[in-house]
Amino acid sequence: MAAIIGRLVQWRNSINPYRKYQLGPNSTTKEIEEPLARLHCDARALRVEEDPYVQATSRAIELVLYLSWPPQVRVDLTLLASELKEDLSQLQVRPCVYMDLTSFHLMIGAISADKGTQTRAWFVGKISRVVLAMRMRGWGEKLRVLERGLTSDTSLRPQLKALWKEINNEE
Amino acid sequence: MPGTHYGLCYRLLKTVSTYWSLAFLDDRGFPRNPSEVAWFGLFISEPALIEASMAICERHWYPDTLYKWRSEIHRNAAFNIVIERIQSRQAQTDGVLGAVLTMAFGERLVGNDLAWNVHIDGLAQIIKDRHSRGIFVLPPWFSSLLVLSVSPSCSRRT
Repeated sequence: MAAIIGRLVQWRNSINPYRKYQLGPNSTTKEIEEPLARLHCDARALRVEEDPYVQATSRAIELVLYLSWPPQVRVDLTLLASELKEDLSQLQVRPCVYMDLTSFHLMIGAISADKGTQTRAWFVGKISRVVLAMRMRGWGEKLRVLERGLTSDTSLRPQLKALWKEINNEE
Repeated sequence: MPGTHYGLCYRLLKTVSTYWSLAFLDDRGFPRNPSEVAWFGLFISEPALIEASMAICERHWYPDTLYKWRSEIHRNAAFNIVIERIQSRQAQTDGVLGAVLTMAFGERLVGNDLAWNVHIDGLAQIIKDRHSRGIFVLPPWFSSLLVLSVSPSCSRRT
């Protein structure tokens, strides 16, 4: 899994010039789409493991790939996010609230699922619950610092910033 | 008297599990299944893990210098116990693995990537040492928690 994630980070760095100059999927993209296809394949192969943690990360990786380079044939990201939700719901040892607050799995699920769906509401609710509890203990301004760190991902920044704006407006 | 001793132990365990519930789950009802019972058993068995957990709890409970200071005391206590364990040259227990992973997560929460890397490197060394002593099995929660800490959008070491 570490190797796949390492390749994912490298690949996402490599697509930045295409994103910056808005060279979409119709441009010269062999050097993008071939490693992308291998990453999708390898991420799906992780799901041979029954471990729900591995299943969850496999789906989170696929969602990152789809969001980073939208496929030409529409993929139901809400369905994939719903499967991610099921994986996370099956964790035997509940992660602590601070893991939820910084959870990439929860954030990617929230920005992948369609608005208005129960799936999206679940992801947003998990993060919002922690944010509300911490705000009530006086962490308002310092949460903004955390938020800046969590939304630092260049390519997903607009979606992540919109998510955190929504979470903050809910309180 | 055995009955009194049992009662005291039960109340103590109940208090600690309630603390864990409120501090880390913002909920009650911990532990709720055999896996969480096992984790709780590990938690109360290793002082370094207790200290590392309390360091996170204090640090993020209230934005006040007193809580930050208390957090640092617990963090240093955890660190010292782990160093003591390593210097004992005995095989490191699952509890020590949990303590170091918790310390790593605590540094990640405050954005200290350097310290995160140091703890992860330490974990790798501990695991190699366990291998050299014929201990190849990692506890089931270990890789699970490491996996949950993964963020494919950054270059932090895992």
